[in-house]
Amino acid sequence: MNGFELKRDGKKIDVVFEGDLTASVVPELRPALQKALEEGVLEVDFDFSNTTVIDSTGIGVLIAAYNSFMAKSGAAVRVVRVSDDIFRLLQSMRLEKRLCVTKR
Amino acid sequence: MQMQDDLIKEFLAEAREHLANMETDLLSIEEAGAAIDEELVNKVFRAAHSIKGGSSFFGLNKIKDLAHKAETVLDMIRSRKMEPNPEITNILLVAFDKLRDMINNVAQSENADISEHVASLSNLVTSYLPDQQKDAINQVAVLQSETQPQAVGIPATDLERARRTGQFIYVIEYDLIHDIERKGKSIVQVFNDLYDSGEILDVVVDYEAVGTLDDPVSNRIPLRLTFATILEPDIIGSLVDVDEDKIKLLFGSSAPGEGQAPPEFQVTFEPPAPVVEAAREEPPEIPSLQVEELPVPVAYSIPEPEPALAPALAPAPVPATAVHEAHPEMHDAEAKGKGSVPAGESTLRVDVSLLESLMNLAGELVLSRNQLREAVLQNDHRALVASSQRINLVTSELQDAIMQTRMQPIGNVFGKFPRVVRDIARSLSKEIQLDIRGKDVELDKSLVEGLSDPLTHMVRNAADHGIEAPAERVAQGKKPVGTIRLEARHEAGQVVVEVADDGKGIDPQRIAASALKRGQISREKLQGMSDKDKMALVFLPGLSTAETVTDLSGRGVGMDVVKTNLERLGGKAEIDSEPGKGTLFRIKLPLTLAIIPSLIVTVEGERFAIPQINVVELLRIRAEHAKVRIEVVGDSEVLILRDQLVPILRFNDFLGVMGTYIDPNTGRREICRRSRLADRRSPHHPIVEGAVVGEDAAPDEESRGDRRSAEGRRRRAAGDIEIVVVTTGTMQYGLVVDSFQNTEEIVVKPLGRHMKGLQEYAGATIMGDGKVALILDVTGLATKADLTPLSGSSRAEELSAEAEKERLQDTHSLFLFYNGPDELCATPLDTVLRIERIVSHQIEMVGGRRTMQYRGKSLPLMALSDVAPVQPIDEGRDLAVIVSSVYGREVGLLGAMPVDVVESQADIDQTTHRQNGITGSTIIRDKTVLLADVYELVESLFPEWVNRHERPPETEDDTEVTVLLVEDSDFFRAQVRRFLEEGGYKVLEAPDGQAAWELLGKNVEIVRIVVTDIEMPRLTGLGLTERIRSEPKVASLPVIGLSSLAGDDDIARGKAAGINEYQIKLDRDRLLDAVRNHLSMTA
Repeated sequence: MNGFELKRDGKKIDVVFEGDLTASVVPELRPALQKALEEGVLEVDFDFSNTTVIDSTGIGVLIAAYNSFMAKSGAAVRVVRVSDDIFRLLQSMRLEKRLCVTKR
Repeated sequence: MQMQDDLIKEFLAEAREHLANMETDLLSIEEAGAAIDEELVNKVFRAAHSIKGGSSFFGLNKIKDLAHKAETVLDMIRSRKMEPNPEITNILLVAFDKLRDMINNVAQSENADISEHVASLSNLVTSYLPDQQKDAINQVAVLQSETQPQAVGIPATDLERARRTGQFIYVIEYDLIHDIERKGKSIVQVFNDLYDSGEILDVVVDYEAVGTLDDPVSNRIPLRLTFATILEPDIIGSLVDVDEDKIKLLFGSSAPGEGQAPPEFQVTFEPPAPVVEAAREEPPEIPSLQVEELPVPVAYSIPEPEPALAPALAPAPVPATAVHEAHPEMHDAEAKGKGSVPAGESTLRVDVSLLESLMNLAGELVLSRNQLREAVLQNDHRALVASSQRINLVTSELQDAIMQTRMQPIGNVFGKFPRVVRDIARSLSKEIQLDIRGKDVELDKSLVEGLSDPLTHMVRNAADHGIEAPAERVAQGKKPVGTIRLEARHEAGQVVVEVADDGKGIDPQRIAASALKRGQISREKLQGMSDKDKMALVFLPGLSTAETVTDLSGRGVGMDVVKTNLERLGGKAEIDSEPGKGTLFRIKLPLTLAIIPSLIVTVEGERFAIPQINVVELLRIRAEHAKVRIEVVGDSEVLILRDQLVPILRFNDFLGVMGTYIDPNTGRREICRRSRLADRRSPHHPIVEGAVVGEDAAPDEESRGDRRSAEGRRRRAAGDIEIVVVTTGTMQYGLVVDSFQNTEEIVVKPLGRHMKGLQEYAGATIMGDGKVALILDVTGLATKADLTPLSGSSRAEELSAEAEKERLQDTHSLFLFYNGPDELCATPLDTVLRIERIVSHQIEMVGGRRTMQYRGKSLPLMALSDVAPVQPIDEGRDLAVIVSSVYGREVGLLGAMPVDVVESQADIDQTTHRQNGITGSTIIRDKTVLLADVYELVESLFPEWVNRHERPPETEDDTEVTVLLVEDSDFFRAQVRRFLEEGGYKVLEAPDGQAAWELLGKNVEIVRIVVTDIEMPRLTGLGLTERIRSEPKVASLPVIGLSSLAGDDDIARGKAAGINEYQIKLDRDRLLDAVRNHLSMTA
């Protein structure tokens, strides 16, 4: 139980959170993403289907992932299937465009 | 929780206050047109703005959205981008109406549909923006200041708005980790708090600082917010929990409208900050800058709507349930509030300085109490006196101050009328100018609130029905613009509010006619009424039905409700009007309801308070003048007051207390036997009798007696009559009391449950000595005592009115005579032709029948004892022969002297003594009186006469002819019914016109003739006849009017109504003749 599940499909990876994206998930998530980056993954979809809460550390990891992946050309980071509340929060922080946030 | 509850209440109260004057202000703005009064526009703008701020703080998103839109429009008016016109004002008015609705029902406000209002406001905004300025919405201004050297870009419109609304713009550096996560907060909450208190203009997340996945786990996620709010620099810290140096004022507010950025701020327009990377379209033409003092016109367009604004503009992303969860207490409060007092009435804004003075006075009071206690302990008389003085002083001041807290300007109510009048004028295409005066007059809060409805009604009536259409006005030589004047002023300790129009006025005759038609007033009463009294008939209930609207152009609609409402407030309404010139409604109100100045009077040792507002004058009638000043009219006493007659009510009679007086000779209290104040006949009841005095009379009366005489005539002499002339607003009457005391300010206490139903008392109060005094309700007292106004002014008119009044009641005029020595008998005076005094030897017994020679003929005589088992007539006494005409022949009834004629309103008992020759009995002067029936006597003694009498005309199918008999007196109805039945008719009976009309409706086929009394409850005979004449099915029915005495006037009025003929009530033969004649005419 890492709090998330990785689904790899060639150069694309889906990160499906099993629950909330909080500080408890991050220690496992960072290395996993780093590994994917090293393996040449260019596209990351963070799937928020099961997520209702995101905290500051969670946001931090999303931004860090963005910074890392977008340094490569042809890369894409998306946050998908987010709840209204989280969408609103990300929108408030003006993150929704960069992180390509889409609602459920 | 409680805190939030209070805050919401406060917000709502404030919002209502803002909205209260909105209409007037908007209308003034519209009126001013291009010549904008900036101060006024700013005021309205600020109102919308603070509603927006507050509602967003409480998560009332719909209210916020609508207020925001309205604010935008007002902003454009203020910046002269939009010239106010009726269309714009209308949209704003409607929007503010909606806002008011939502605020009044805040729990439901989130479910309200505001799309229409938002859309029309938005359309207004876009339609008034020049094309290039539409783009200007997307302009970006870049700000820098010494404290914030890093340039920050915000939309130019936001900046401009902030500048004008006096907002502050801050740049706030948050760190998600340090300032939020480590402090145990949620980001969502932080953002919500910010949204609630202002607008987030921009957010920049410092991506760099976060680092990449390769960097060690970042402990910084800096967030730079650009935040516009009205919160001032010294309190922003309470909202934003970050280190002080992380909050930087980017833009300071100055007074709204002045709008100049303080010099330490540099504002430049620059290409948008790199954050907005989506800028991909061609920059548009550089628009001319609207902000003159910011002369660096660089603009960029941002194709997407500004994200910062999105949450505010888009349908609120927070689901409604979330709002409720966030504010459960508000929900509760609303639920509790439902059905009880609206929140507006439960709170009051009070000037702080007033509170201070209250506080001071409370302190003074405590000191005085201490002083008093000390004085009591020491038993120090001087100190007692001193502290009593002090308490007296402090209490009055305290009372004044407390009263002031309840005082509100009447302008709060007046404020809505410009709108009312404008709307009516627009919808009816009239031109009406509303002239409001005396807005600042202050009234008790409850009165101000209670005035709203009645005044609205009056103003609406004036605008709707009073003021004519412009063309009509011009045709009458008036100015096309009608004027409605609304004025409040102080007058003699009361507040007078007038609603006057210069419209078509009210025609008293038409009102009178309508009231008459509705059977609400009798013709007799109308005769004695002045025009003003007639106009006051608009206050009668029922003059408000649809039928009357056309009759009276609707002037009477609901006026009775207005009156009732005003009376509940302790106020009075008067009307004055001149047809063609205009109408004036005058309302008189007490300043406050809680403490009223009153006259204290005593009656039989009890004290009563009469509100000063009801007191017209105080009279002392000298014993020797009583005969001249007090007249007995009919059964009641009236006071001759200058050229008026005023009914008198003796209060101790009314209370059922035996009058007492102090015997001037013995000094003892005696029962007063005088039955009338003006009694003059009986020598046993000297007119000069003891003054009836109050409770303070007994012991010290005598000791005072000497002093009194020494003081001379100014003191009340024994036997003088003290009368308080009081007014109910519609009538005056004199209240006879034992003595006047002083006037006092009394505190009104409600009556206890058991006495609530007594309409003669308005409440009670506690007097200085701790005893209770009842407060008289003069209106209720008059109603209870059955006093009727004696209108008109001359005495002759009064007396005839009095006679009319007598006639209205079912009075039986009875001729009294004796049969046996103690057997008092009577016969209805109507049946009596003449009275002849005879001596017994004039009676002749011829052929077993008693006769006497009379006018050259032989007059048959009969005695009651011939038929009924009563005592034989005492032939030894002086006898009277009562001559009647029965079945076409004269007959004499023997009676013994003395005889008399009485007017009696007593009931006639038709069962107890009923037997052949006696119709019934009644009580007169405490004696049972048998009523002789001459017809029955004749039928028994001279049966052959009856056979000679003609039968009714034969009907074709040989059935009985049906007569509809309408009569409210049971006695008369039974009599006439018998006449008619004996005459061979079938009779349908009805006790009043209304019942008759209904009965006629059901028997329209068989009724051939109507015989009706004139004066009846519900619907008079005249009213019934008018109805008959106006209904084609029955219009041709003959109607015979019955009257006790028909004067020429009555006959003329009856004819006008359609009555074919008048007959005296108990003249059987003539009545039957008349019926027969009319039937044969119509047959």
